[in-house]
Amino acid sequence: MADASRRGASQASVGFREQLRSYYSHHWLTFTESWRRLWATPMSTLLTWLLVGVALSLPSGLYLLLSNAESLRQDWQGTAQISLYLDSSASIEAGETLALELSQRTAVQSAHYLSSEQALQEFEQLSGMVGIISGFDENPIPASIAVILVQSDQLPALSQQLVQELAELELVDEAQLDQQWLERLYQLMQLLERLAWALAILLSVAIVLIIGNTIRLSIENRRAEILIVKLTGGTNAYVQRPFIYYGFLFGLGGGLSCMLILAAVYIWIQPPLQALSVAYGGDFGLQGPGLLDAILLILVSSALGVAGAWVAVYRHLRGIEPE
Amino acid sequence: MIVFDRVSKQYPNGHQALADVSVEIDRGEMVFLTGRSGAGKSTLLKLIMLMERASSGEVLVAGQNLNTFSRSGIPYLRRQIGVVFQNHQLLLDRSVFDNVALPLEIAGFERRDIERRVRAALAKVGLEATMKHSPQNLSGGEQQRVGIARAVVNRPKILLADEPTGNLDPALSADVMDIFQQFSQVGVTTLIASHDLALIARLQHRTVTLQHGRLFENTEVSRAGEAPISNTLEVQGNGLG
Repeated sequence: MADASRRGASQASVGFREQLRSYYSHHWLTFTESWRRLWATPMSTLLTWLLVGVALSLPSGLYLLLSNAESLRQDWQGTAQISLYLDSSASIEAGETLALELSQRTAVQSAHYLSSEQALQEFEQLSGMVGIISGFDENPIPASIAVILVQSDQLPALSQQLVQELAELELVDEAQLDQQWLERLYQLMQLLERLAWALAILLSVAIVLIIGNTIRLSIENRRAEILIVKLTGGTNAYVQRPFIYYGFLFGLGGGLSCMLILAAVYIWIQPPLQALSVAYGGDFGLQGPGLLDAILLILVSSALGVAGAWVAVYRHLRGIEPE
Repeated sequence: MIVFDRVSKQYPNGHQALADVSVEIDRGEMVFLTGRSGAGKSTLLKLIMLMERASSGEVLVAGQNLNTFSRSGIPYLRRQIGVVFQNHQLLLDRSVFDNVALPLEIAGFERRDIERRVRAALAKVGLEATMKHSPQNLSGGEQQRVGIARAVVNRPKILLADEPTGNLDPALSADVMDIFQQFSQVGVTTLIASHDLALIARLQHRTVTLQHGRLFENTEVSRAGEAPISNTLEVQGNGLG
């Protein structure tokens, strides 16, 4: 095109501005054309979307679950509690006196005595297993004192110390720091988070390969067209553009179908979760994905689609040259 | 417009397709390229299109040395060259209009320009009425004319044709050649590979004959029309013998 200016009036020449405008209009045309072609084979397009959606929903669902667990953990972390299980010989009065004593301590915010009778009632109410428990000869649930500690930065060390100290008390059978299970939960969550990442990486690779393979097939189907386009002066960029849009649309649809899958699962598990939450006397509700999460998911999915398209284009399209 | 200077082409499998070929074709000239199958006609056309590169020697097209032509520049070279194939190479899932419009879309023309030029190109080959049809519903001769319309729609400097009448009967072949002559008359350099020697003889243009990859004969014909019939017949005899 170096000699464009020297061409005669009869020669076809295109100005830069016109070319730029045409470039954008070609992008738009290719986009709509790709969309039209995808809808020409609705079943296979929907299946690809579903496939990508399912593959994405595993790691993103796990991520959602983890972020819910994380917010719960943070809610609970603030309240460190020591449960003192009292010796069965301890009387109610002695237990109440001990609770009062403990609540005087500076490190203790409050101490609440729960007799074995009260504990049993509470348990029956929560579990609904009224008949079973009354089958025991004597109440198997010990009386306890719930010691809630004052918030402080040194809480972990302090509470450890306090647990040991309280365990020595005569009336106390066992002292348990309820923080421990939170720490274990935290460690479990860290493990699960790594698993989620591993899953996300593996499935991302799978999505790239799935979309790459789908696009490889459509490249093969349009081989004749590609050859003619290349022979009539189509650049690589021109030839590969529709396939890159395919990848984008596969990824976009996959992301949307993943959102639908997550929403369906969310709605499906909501009623039993509500019931569970009520049974525990809590107000725990599952947080669905926020708008930002949704946008991020769809962006990531679209990017994976484009990546898959590039893989296919580099491996298969560039090799198609007229012979 | 097209210069071959001592060009040889050896394929990786050792086949020597062209050996030491020197030919010069001027702007607006119409030249026939003849020879038996495997004589190197297609290779010569492929070198002009940069579908292949010369092993030695120089190929110049429109003043550009193709030996040093970058890979990324190839599409832009091809936009200056219209090509007509033996088996028309039309896209059957698109209308006649869309087939002809393809080179213009690639070159980045605006929609209304495309429409105007496609109409003009189809009118030139007498197929304006079939614009919305599928190429499948056209006859072989009509398909070939659509192929020609596509080749010239971008008003290329050079028009190449590889056995354009190979699948056509004599009357249709004459029609197609007539269209080529019209383009050559408005300044398009036209190079037609063909072994339809009877037709070539009638048309009285310069004929370049290849044999076993070598330039066998380069017959000038005066524009006045005094065809060196005997010469052409000799070529025919050699070419077939």
